[in-house]
Amino acid sequence: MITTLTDTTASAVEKKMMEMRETFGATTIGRVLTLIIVATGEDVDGPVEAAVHASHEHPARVIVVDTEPDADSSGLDAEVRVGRDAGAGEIVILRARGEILYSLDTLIMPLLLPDAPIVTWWPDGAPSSPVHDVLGSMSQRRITDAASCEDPLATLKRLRRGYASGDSDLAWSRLTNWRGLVASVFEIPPATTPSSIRVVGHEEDPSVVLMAAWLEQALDLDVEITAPGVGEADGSGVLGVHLTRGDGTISLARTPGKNGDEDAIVMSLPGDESGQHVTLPRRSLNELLAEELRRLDPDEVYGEVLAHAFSGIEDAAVYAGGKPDPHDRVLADADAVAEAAAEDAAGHLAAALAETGTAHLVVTGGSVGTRAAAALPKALQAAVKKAADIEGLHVWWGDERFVDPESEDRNERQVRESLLVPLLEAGMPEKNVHPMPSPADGVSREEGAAWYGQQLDLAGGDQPFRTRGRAFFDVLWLGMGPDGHVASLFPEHPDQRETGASAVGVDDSPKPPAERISLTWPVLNSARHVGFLAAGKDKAEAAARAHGQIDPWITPASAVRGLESTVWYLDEAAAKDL
Amino acid sequence: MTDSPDPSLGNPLRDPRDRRLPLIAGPSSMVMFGVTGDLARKKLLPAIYDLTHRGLLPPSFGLVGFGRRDWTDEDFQEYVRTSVSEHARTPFTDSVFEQLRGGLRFVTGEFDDKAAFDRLTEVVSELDATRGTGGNHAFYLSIPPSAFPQVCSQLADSGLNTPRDGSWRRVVIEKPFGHDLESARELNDVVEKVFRPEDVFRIDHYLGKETVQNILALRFANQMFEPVWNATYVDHVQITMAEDIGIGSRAGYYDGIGTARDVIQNHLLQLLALTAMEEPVSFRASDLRAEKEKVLSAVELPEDLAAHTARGQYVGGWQGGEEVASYLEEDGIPADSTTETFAAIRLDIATRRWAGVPFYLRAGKRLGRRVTEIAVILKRAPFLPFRSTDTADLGQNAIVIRVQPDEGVTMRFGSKVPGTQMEVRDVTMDFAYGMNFTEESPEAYERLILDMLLGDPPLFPRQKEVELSWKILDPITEYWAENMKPAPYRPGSWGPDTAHEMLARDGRTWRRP
Repeated sequence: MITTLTDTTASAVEKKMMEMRETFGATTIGRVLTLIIVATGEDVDGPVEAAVHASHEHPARVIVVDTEPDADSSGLDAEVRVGRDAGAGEIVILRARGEILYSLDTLIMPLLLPDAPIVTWWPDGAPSSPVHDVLGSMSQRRITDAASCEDPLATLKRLRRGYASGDSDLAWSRLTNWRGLVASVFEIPPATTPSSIRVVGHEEDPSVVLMAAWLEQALDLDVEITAPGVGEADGSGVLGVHLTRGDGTISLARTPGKNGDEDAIVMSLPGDESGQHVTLPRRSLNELLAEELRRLDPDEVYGEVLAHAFSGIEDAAVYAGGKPDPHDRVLADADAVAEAAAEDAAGHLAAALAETGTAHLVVTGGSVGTRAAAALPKALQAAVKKAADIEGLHVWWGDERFVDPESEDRNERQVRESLLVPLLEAGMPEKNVHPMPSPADGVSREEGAAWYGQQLDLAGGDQPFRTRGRAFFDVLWLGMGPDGHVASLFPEHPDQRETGASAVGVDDSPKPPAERISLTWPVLNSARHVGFLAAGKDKAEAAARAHGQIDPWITPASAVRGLESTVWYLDEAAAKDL
Repeated sequence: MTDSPDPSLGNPLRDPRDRRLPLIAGPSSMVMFGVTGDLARKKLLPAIYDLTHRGLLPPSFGLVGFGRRDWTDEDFQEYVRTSVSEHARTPFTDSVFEQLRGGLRFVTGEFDDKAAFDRLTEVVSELDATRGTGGNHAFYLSIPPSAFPQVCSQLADSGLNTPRDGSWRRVVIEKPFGHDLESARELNDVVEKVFRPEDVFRIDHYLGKETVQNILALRFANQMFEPVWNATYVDHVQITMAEDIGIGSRAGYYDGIGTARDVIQNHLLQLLALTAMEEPVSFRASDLRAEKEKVLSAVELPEDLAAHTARGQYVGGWQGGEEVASYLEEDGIPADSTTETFAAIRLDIATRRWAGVPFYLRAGKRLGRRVTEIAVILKRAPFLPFRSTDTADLGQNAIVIRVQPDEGVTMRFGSKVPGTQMEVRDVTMDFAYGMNFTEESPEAYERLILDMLLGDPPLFPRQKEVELSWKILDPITEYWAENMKPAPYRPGSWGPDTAHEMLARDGRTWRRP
């Protein structure tokens, strides 16, 4: 039975579900979990079908959140399925438009099963850190699928960065049967640890990478990954594993696809060239999800293998490294600094708007930052090719003080009149302004940071926060403190060590107010053009240090670089020690 | 969960925390005696195929058929293909069969033919060499118990029963494990002379691992049931195993055996043991068995067997819209047979926990519906602060463990009927194991064969349990043989009147399951 509700609310949906259950009768099956599916792609049917299938093994309430962030109006449509159309579970599909996406957690709150575990699954578009996602943070288990994202390997790396106990990825469950096979092959007498192992597959395939990492980690040897050769099966996933040990090589290889024979693997043992057939069909989404739901406790082995696959980033300097060196523009005074920065930024933004229709700008507070912001609307007006381009501009903040929204301490408050009002008047939609939350929003500092991270994810689909290749922000402005801090990442402050999340709640800031929210190293380093704004002699020493070696811990300002350019806009006083 | 050393222990790829990794049997082969029999054709071979299909058998698995027919390996492969394509649970695909086919061998011979067992030895070592089965071999005796002595001694003579350097040899036998205590002991002596006790796997396909684990989880993973699980709160326990079918083609086996020996001795007493036992110190096989043996040894028979047991035999008639024959008219049953097709007994358990709580066991064929359940009926509340008319419809609270079909738990308790009247009535609350309706749920034989190959024994009863069960049942069957003829009952009913009278004497009634 399927019922559709338009322009509805979550509590109306819940009421309807209860009504349908009563009419339908016979709903004595205990639901064991709530499965949230966050669909950002086109295809909702595939994941829903998998959920229906999995519900036979794990009777669940399935909440599908189908987001449409770009919709003109805000609203909620819902579809409720119970009975035959929902397998052994019940399914709610929520089509959320517009501003509803600001509060996804409270959207689904009334629909969660009381007390039952929550599992969140992103069939496509993995968040940059599942545990820091607003929905992910409520969940015991978080399931992503790197292979369905635009750049699978980069996604897997990001997931490594943001990994928390309880995460897992379908690239890992795709390996289960393969791993079982390899583990049992290992036991073929005489069972000895191989001297070398070769995994066949494409090296940018997440499953191949995880397979190699698993073997390396468990057997403590180097595993070679080779691309399939001529005459070997090609395709996604692991295509072969070759274990060499004292008595020869045991080869497992997928047979080249002909006559639908792809399910088979041929195993050759030392001294037996005939080759034994082993069946190993590629696993369907249904099977993968059912396996994922079988355990609601963390998969530690996955965590360790993922950590082994991508060496940890101990040093946040890595994010800034390997990018073009910064160069300086020394100007007469603070006003000239602001003008120059605004002009350059307007040029970059206008180019991005003309090219892609979208541009992301990160603004900053402080005296120079505020002045630059004030100079921007005019510069932008001059730079954009069509006035309507301004509709694609998004404004973000690098950090914010976690205080009352009307406080003069707020970075957003400082640029509201000078930057935001003119831009809104010029046609930038309200929803493109992304201020950081304040206590008045009813959230804690940590919740606010997680929420901001999610907004960034939603705006960027599945591409945010790569620090290589393609950046998310077009222009990122940073002020700098006399101590060398940027955003709210302070020298030798423990909160700057957070690199898993996109945004971090900062406590005990050395500069008042003490509570802040800041973007983190990987996000700050995901900009095409970075502009440092500094004026006054008290900045001179820090500016000089920031030009030296990249050292986020001592000199934060040294550790942010743009992919295409990093420019220091300085007045003469600030530049005197360079 | 195992007593014998795990062959996969020490495999660095098997991290105990890695619970996704499927437990795939290690390199091994199985020699099947009685491979042309019904059971092998309809259940065992398909189960082996299904295990292969699910990727749970090692790639190198070998299967050797031993039988009288003059077959080549190719003939045997064709036989297996036909059996599998007709009876397997999972779809038949050539690529899966191909994996199995490479390891299929057939040895022609009689059980008394020494040369045939020599050939079997050769085939088994050939599999070790070409398939890498590593000297691990299981012998599945799907043959009548009367043939056990011969086969076992042949296996001993050819040395096939003796494992070498770290490999294993196991033997699988099916119920019935004898037909009374004495025959069970004889049978056991024959087998254990040749195989070590821990290498003997007694397969009881009915009591699936899932069920046992579910009962253990319900009792010992929860706080809410165990406090009432004793004589202070429990009035009595009813364990029912009912089938709606007749004896079918099992006449040859069934007649002279009867329901009590067929299912009460093993299944119902196992369920009783699981329901009544104390908490094991761990779920290791030996600890679990220790508790089951303890409680079985505390079982007491009623003094008056005439009053507290019942015996029945179905007559012909209409059952569920179908006309069915009486037991005596079934093919192959002598017209004067006194074999029972229904049995009910009362047992008591002499422990502090259960003193005074009767356990009623009943089993039969051609009963109302197919159901197996354990119903723990609680005592009435000692005082009811209602007018007696308010609680006229209130029965006793019950916790029912449904074993099959529709595995789950039902609880029955009183609840107020909505409205202005104060009226309390029984309601039931159901829980069904999700696993139950998944297509993935494996057949009992698959799991049993896999557990055997993995060397995971907790659910396989040991000889001691078998003997204890016979000790309980033997006096009853002896009494019946001399003093009680089966009472007739209509097909599709819940047994003869004597069964209802038996409970009425104790002031109770059977639950309608």
